Amino acid sequence: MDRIPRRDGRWRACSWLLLGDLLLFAAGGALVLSPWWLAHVVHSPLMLLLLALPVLSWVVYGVAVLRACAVALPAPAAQGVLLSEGEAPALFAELKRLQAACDAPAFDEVYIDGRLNAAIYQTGRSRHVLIVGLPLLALLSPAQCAAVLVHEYAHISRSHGRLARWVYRARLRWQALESLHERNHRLVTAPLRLFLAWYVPRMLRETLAFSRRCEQVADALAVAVCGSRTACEAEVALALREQALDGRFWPELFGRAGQDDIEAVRPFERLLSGDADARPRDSAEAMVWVHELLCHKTSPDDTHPAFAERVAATGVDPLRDLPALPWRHPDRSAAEAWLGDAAAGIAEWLDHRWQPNAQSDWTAATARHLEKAAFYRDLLQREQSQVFDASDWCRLASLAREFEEDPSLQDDFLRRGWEIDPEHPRLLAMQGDRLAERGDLVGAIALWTSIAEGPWRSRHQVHRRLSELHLRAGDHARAEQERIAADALWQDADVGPSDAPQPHGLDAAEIGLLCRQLAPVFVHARALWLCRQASADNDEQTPWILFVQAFDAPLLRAVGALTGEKDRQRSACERLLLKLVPRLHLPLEVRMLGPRDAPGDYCNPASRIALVAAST
Amino acid sequence: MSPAAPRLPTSPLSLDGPEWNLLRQQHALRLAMLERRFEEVEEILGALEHEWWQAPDEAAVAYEYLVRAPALFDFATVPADVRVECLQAWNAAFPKSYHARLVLGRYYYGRAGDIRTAAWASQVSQAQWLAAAMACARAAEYLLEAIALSARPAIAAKDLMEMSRHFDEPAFVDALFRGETPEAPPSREDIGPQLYDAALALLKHYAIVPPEHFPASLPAGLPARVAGEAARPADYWLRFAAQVKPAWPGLLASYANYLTPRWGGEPGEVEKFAKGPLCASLTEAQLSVVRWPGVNDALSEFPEQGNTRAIAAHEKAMERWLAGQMPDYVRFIAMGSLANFTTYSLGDREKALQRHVASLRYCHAPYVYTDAEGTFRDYARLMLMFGFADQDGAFKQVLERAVRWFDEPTMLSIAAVAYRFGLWDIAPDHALAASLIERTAALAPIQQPSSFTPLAVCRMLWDGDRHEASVYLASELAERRVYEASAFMYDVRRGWLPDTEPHHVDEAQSLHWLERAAEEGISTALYNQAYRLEKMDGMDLSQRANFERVRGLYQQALEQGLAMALIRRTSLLRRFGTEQEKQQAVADMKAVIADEDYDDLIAGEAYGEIVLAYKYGDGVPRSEYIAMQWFDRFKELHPEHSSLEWLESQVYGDSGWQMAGRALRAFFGAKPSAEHLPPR
Repeated sequence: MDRIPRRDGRWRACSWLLLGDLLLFAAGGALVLSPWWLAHVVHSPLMLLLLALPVLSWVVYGVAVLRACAVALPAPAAQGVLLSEGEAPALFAELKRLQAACDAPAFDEVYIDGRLNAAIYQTGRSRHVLIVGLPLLALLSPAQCAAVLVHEYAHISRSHGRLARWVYRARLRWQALESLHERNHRLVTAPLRLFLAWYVPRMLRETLAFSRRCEQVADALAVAVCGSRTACEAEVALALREQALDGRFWPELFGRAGQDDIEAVRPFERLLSGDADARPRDSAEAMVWVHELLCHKTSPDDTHPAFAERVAATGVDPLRDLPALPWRHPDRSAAEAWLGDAAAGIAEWLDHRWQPNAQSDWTAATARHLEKAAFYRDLLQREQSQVFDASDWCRLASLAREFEEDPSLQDDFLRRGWEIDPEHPRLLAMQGDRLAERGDLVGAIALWTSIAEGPWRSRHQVHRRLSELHLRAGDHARAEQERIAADALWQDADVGPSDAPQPHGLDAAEIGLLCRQLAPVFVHARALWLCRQASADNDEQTPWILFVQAFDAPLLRAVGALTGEKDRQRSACERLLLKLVPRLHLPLEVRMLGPRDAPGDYCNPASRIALVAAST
Repeated sequence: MSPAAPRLPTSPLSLDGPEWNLLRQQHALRLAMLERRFEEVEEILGALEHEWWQAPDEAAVAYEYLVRAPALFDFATVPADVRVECLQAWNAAFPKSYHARLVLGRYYYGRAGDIRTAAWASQVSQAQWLAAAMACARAAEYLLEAIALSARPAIAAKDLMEMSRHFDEPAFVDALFRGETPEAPPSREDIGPQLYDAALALLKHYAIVPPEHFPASLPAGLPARVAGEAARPADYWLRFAAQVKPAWPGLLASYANYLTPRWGGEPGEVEKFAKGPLCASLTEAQLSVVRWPGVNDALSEFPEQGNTRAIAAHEKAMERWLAGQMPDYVRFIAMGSLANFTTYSLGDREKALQRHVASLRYCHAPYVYTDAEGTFRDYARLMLMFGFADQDGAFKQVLERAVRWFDEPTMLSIAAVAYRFGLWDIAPDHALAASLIERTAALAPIQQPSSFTPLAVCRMLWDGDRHEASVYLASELAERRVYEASAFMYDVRRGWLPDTEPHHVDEAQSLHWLERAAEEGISTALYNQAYRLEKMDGMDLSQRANFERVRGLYQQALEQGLAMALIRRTSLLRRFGTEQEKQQAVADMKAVIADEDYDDLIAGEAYGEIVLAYKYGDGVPRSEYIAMQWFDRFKELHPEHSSLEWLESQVYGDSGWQMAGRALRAFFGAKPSAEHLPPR
């Protein structure tokens, strides 16, 4: 029975990989054998004599190319506990069941490690290894885990692991070639260099797309074997646990540095016991997290599709079609069901292994904690002789939350800050959170609504918070309105604000001073424009942006493409600016404009501060 | 009877008149100390203290100024061992004297500051920190004893507060507050012999002996510390001092100084303190005294000319500040700062001069600038270099007051010139000028490191076309071997200064001054001597002995901080050293260009040496191509460098044909590995 969708587009990816490999070996071989075929092609002894030295350098280059091809992949090694069937018979029984359902080969080895993840690798002709994380087993139900394992079975049955190793090898190979070409700028490197420039971005794009298709195929099998609802639940549960671990569990754990010794810290034991920090606080929070996750889009650089895409592929809308989001810990986790008594021993082993590895991070966190504690005491002492402003009270309140057991101290600091500045956004936010903790949702909503109306850097976070509060209060309609507002304001963190730069707003005298300070750059730069960042709150801290376009000549550009030499004028501009920018009286960010970059609308005569006639 | 006491130098100008009361008191105290008439000292200080406590404005009473060792001794003529011996004799003679212990404690604390100097913390050596800590421990010992002997030990408490912020509270004091027995002072073995001995050498200069044991208890009556004060002991001493003397602006301003960003405070912290409970009962004028450290810190960096926004903001802030109420002495300092800003940022010298003159209306006799650096330097520059007339006799007044104080060498050197040449309406008096020169020279050893020394006055006079005055001052100082004046005289006699008149140039004299300056160990003289030997005297540097001699001179100059000596020494090594020395020379120059602490001049010279090294194969493979690459990088980064043109001719030749030939040679010539190329 073939229940695995076939279309993962492997042939396209393989074709690209094969093209690169074949061409590389052919080029390397041709270069190494160049004396031989030249001797056949060129009959004039004089020409052969003249070509002797250059040909020698071709051979050397060819050897270097072939050496770069011979990358040795490190042998994959699992970092966890190797399980035997006798130690976890239920797990192995489940694996056998799923293997049959997927019509997939068996795993030769099963490891348990410390990640919230499951992975496979394949070596040799038929060796398959499964690594599944104890956190995954501890935080998901058996049904949800089963969907994850089916996903992994899909990978091995489709040999995704072997293909992944081929892709990995190809990437290492091309990285080695890139290093070789960075050091060698002779003309003989031109053909391979040009091919690299064309091939590598496309190969990467194809292999990443293939990687995402593999994930889609694996997800499809999970849907087929476990059902769409279970598959969807598994995706959502995993995403929520990941968010909780990254945003709450691990930071809270390391927040104990300075108070606890690392020997007393047992994160995996805590996860096994269903720690409350490893999940959302309630359904409202879970819902809002899902809203946020659904905003993320898949980018061409991703190896996995985005959450929204994966969930959509199950055919189930987690917000409408599931009776409830799987935010609570399961009544019986997969670890309990499949590992039984062995789970505790595995957790202990992982904890002991984690402690030395986390030691340096723990030490750094301890130092930060002690520094913060000293700063808190300092602030308290300063309060005796100074009149604090609202920001000071805000800082005190925030630190009191961390260092004082008595919550009334934080309340007192918040009140005192509020007396000075009733509209201080951070104070309002803290007070809003305090009210929400105490169950006063009406009060909390009022405060957060007033924050939404005022200045706040991350507006979409405010609307998310309001959405959560309304959900908690049972007002789903209002919650949905806030969600829509948040989604509209959401921006991809990698992309950043999209506001265009503004005019610099400086007078002639100041521009004159800047131009005098930047004078050495004019030898190498054709034009400079000065603009201002759009999103700064405060005039004093507004950074400026200096757009620089270096002199450029088509011939030099062509030579650069062939030899890999960086454009000299541009390099000169960059070096000079590195030296000059720290000495300027303006805080500047420099952006180089390439010859093919179209200056934006903001690079106009009004913002241009220098235009040099010709290169000298 | 004590050993023969040093003579007490006195100002050549009269100190009659009520406005010079402070200086007469100081003179009387100094005489009494020198002659060991401690009872008289006790009487004078006791009366002053009483007056200070009674006065509505304690700043009007000179008590705080006079109850200090610099007021009781002329540091220039009374050696450190005599001072310490005298103070200890006073303590022994008056075992219950608050003032005896206070002054000795303040003496040690003051020397801790001298040892540390006013340099940035990162530039203070470990030995300096250790010696300063030892001096602070001695100071704390005596200040605590002083506290035990007085019902109102306000100044002792204030000093302990300052010490806790400026340095650290000595550990033994903290131990006593915690009810513990202090640990014994660390021994030479504990600290390490080298560091300990270095610290000891610094202390010895001030006749200070490190503590041998610490007190076993605190003075009775000191309140207990509250939570938080252990980590911030200055707060404890502030609280105690404020209890002893409430609403004391001097105390609060001193504390506020340490809240400025310069001392690790946050912006705006001084203002928060000024609004706090300790300052609640101060008048507006008194509050300005407390606020001034914060304002001054914020406005101490003047914006560059052309930085219109920063200039406008600075002017606005200063005008807003000056519109408030404040005591005259604060207004004098603030207006002086505004005048300095007017010169630097606005470039308006006339307006700056007017502002200096206006500021002096708020500086009442006997007071004058406390420091030659900063505002006075700017004023002096305007008067010496730009030939402005003395408005309202203000500059003359400053100089006359400085002569009466008789303790600031730079001002005295200007006054000497004024009296010698009858400048600024001062009646010429050669004898008086001579006495001022003597005094300037006597003050040289104790002047704190500064860039505005009497030598800088010589340069200013020269640049202001007062060449005769400049040469007079320089030669007088050079004869007395102070302020590196010999090096200046060398430049004069050599004719190296701009517009040198023929009658000043004298080759024989120049050599005399060069040798004299080198004997004194002046860095520029050592450099010049080496340069002469290398470049002008035709010395054969292939002879190792000659090479070592010239290298040694450059090395000595380098050790004194002359960066150009590094370049010349390296050039010498590159051309005449062993193969290893040549390689090291090139490596050193590459390190210089990578180090951002060197200025453009030095960095450019370093590039030049690297270019020549590759051109001639000194310590590196010979390669015209690599030399050209380095030259191109040099030209790119230092397009205005003075040696660019010469170096270009060395690398590319002087004509088009030469350039083409060299380029071809470079192209076909050796190309060492990429590691020799300039960094990317």
